[in-house]
Amino acid sequence: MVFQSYALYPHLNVRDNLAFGLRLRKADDATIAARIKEASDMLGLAPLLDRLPKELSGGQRQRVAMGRAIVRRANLYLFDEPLSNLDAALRADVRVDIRKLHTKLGATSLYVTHDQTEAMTLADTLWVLNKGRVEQKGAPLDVYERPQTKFVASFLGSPRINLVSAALKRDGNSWIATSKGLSVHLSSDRVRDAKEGASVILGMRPHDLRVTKSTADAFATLHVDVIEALGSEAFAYGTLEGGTPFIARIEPDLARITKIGDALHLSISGDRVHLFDQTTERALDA
Amino acid sequence: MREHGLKLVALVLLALFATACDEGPPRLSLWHAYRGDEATALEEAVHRFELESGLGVDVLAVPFAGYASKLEAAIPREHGPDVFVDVHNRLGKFERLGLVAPVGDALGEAKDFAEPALKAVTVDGKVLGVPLAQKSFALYINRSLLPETPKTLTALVETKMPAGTFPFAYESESAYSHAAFLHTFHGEMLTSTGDFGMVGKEAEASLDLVHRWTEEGHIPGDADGALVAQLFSSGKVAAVMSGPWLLADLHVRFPLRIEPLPPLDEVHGAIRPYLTVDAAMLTPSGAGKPGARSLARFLAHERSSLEIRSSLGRQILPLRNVETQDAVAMAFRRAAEDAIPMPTSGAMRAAWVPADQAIRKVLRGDASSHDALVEAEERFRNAAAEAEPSSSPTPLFLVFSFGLVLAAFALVRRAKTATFRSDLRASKEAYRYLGVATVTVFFLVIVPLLVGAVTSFYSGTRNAPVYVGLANYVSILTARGGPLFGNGSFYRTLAVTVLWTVVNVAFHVVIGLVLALILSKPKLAARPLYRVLLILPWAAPSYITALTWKGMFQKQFGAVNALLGLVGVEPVSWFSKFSTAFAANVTTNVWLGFPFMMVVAMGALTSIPKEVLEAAEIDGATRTQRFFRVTLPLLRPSLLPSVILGAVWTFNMFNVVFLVSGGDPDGSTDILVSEAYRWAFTRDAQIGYAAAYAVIIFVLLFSTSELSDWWKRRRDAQARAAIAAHVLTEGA
Repeated sequence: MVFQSYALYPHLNVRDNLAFGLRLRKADDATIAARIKEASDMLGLAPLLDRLPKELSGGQRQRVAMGRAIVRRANLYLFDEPLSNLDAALRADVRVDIRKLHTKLGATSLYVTHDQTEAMTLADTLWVLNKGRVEQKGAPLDVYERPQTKFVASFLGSPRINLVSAALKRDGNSWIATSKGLSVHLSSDRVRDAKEGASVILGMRPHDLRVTKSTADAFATLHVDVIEALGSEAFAYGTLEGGTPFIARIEPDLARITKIGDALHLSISGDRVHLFDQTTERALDA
Repeated sequence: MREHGLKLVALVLLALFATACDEGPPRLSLWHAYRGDEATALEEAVHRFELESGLGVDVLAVPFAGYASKLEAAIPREHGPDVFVDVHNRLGKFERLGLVAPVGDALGEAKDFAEPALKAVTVDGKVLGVPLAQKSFALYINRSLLPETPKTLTALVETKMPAGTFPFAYESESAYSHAAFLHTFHGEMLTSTGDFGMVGKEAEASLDLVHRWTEEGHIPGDADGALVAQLFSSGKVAAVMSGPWLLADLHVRFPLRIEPLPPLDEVHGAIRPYLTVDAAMLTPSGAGKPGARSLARFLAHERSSLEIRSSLGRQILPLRNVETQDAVAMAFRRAAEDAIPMPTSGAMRAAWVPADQAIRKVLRGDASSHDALVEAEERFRNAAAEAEPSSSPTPLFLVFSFGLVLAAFALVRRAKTATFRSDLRASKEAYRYLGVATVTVFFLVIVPLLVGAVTSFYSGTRNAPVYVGLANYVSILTARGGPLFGNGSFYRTLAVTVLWTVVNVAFHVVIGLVLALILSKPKLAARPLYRVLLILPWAAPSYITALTWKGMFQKQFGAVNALLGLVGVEPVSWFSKFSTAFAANVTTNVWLGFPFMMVVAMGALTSIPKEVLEAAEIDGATRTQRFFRVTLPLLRPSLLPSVILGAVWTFNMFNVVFLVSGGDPDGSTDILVSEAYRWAFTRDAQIGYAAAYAVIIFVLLFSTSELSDWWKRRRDAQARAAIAAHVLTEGA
């Protein structure tokens, strides 16, 4: 078990922190020394063994907390938001450490986090829990691309997925979802068991949106309120015709010339639109 | 504005001038330490004197506790009164110090006074006070239990009474009370040469008699003043022997009668309690003033003074022929006829404690009267001031000067270091803030400490100190030449003190910790209630708690024995054995001390993160292992200072030891501070000796805490060095 607050024994130095569990199990000194060496080599703790927890940095403490779990040679490791108390830069470093460690140990690790980056990068299998209930499990990318509930869809992805209420309409062989100021062609594999006029929730990730010149390709027009330019990409925050708040990812070059109040015509590929039942909030393709 | 100022100055000058030119008769001054009705009555009597004589008198009421020392300080410097009222038994000391002069014609008609009262104020043939009032024992009788007073006290004592009641009670533990019987057997507390007199056949016979009464259940044992008053007013005792002061405490529903004490029996004759006389005394300057002498004479003889003092002040007048309708006053006056004036010698002070101890020992059956009294005499001699030869202060002076030189040398060397001056300049602001506190601490802590240390080089009483160098220390550290672990020796007392400290602190910590753990349980209902209840013992003043516990350990009526009785345990005489008396002290002090540790531990427990305990649980620690390997080590840093503080408090816990066991049996449960107190205040006022004890206690405590500090610093330094070494080797 690795705690969010590290929960190291403040009165013991690193070595004794690592040895605590083994001593309780009455392991002999040679074994203890060997395990400590192993764990401290793996985590780079060797220079810190004689220090007290208060003499360590946050990242070092978290490594000790992991070391304490490792020496136990457990079959299952439980990480309880281990990176939440670290600053962003350190978090990325330790995240990589944890991934490497997991590979080395080869034992099952259960990793609890609120951070989707950690969830996406670390997991072999991702379980999304909502109020203690499993909403969805699967490989991270599958979960990201095929969220089976509205909750999962809005939980993964940053900025959050755009959610809009709409009604289904049949258009020949395909389906269209319409709402005020919005009309999207849907890919048929997204729509199963659909009825004409059914009310649904549309989910469109900002990253899946494209800005087009022609209004013909566009499914909606975004009136820009705020531009967030991050360098590698940019986000336009605004509202659709009907007043629905909406976010779109745009190219940095476009961000340079876009001004507040401008209208952007948005398009999306039909197979990127997620559809959820208005009442059950489950995906229509589930 | 300016004009006003000038007017004011002129006015003040005028007032001063007027005072200086006042040609009226000089005013007299009178001091007393009375309170309540006695004070009012005296002041009224003085007022009547003013009206009659036309003289002015300034009356000053001084609190009793500081009265004697105020007199001793003021009179030699001519700031004292002309006349003062005090008890006669201080006359010996006052005379030696030159605070009083023979009263001359202030006495009036000598034959008017009752003989014992006149004897009381006569020192070496000189009359040094004018008797105003007297106090001695009479017999208080509960008429509903004892309708007819038997002819003799023996008959009274042997009267058959219903179960649970006693025919007779008195403060049997005190030598002051016992003196009444001692005198009947022709014994004495102090010989005419000022030696311990309570030895020999007479004293033994008096003790044996009272011991028999206690053994046969005629009188309650272990009786102090409070118990006697309580038993009598609750109707459990038919008659008690006590002084007029008991009246004030008594609120009885039964018919009360006060009679002179009956004779002990046909053979031994009258019971002869001590007599104390309140007398008007004249200071040397007052004795020269006719007005002061007539004031004293007026107070003692004039009808208007007698009237108010006996009616309002309820004083018992020490006169031969005063007709009074008051049966109580009559009884006390007749009781005083057989009384023996309390000796005026200062040696009395050193006699009380050994005598008290001997009496308690005999009454509890711990020693024969012979052995107990021989021991008491030994104790008296041991304690009475031995005139140490005065020694030259030169060696000490040399050591002191050498110390000063060393200190100056060290200071100069510090001042030479490069950073010293800049450090000093940088800290100027800080010094300004610390200034007031430093000065305060210097005068309130350091100066008394130095005065105490200097006092310890002197011997003799406060008024006649003799420089003896280190003689006090030598005497203490060699156990006054007796066996090193003999009774009352420094080493034995130190051992008891250390045991006392260790046992107490151990109980404080364990009980405090256990309660704190229970109180910190998350699911405890009514936690605030428990918390308040458990902190209460701490909130009550310790001396009240101590007195309460002393009462509860009383052999016959105490709650502890009553509870033990329920489970069939025989009544324990708690203060007759070291182990039980020590246990009683410890119980009281544990009761007083655990809440502090509990509060500290509760605070410390909240600072232990829950996750750490959870982590230990996941690491496989059981409840016990979690407590000993995680909780306790984490509590240690916050508990340690409190433990050290608690140890110092306990080491010096005077109240409990003094009030609960009072050192019983035989001073064996005394700790260093209570022993020091006894040297200063009960054993002929050997202030220097007591100061040496205090210095030794200070050095012991100071070096102990310094030692533990040093040890902690060394451990920390070692730990840091280990880390540094490790980092270095890793780096290489």
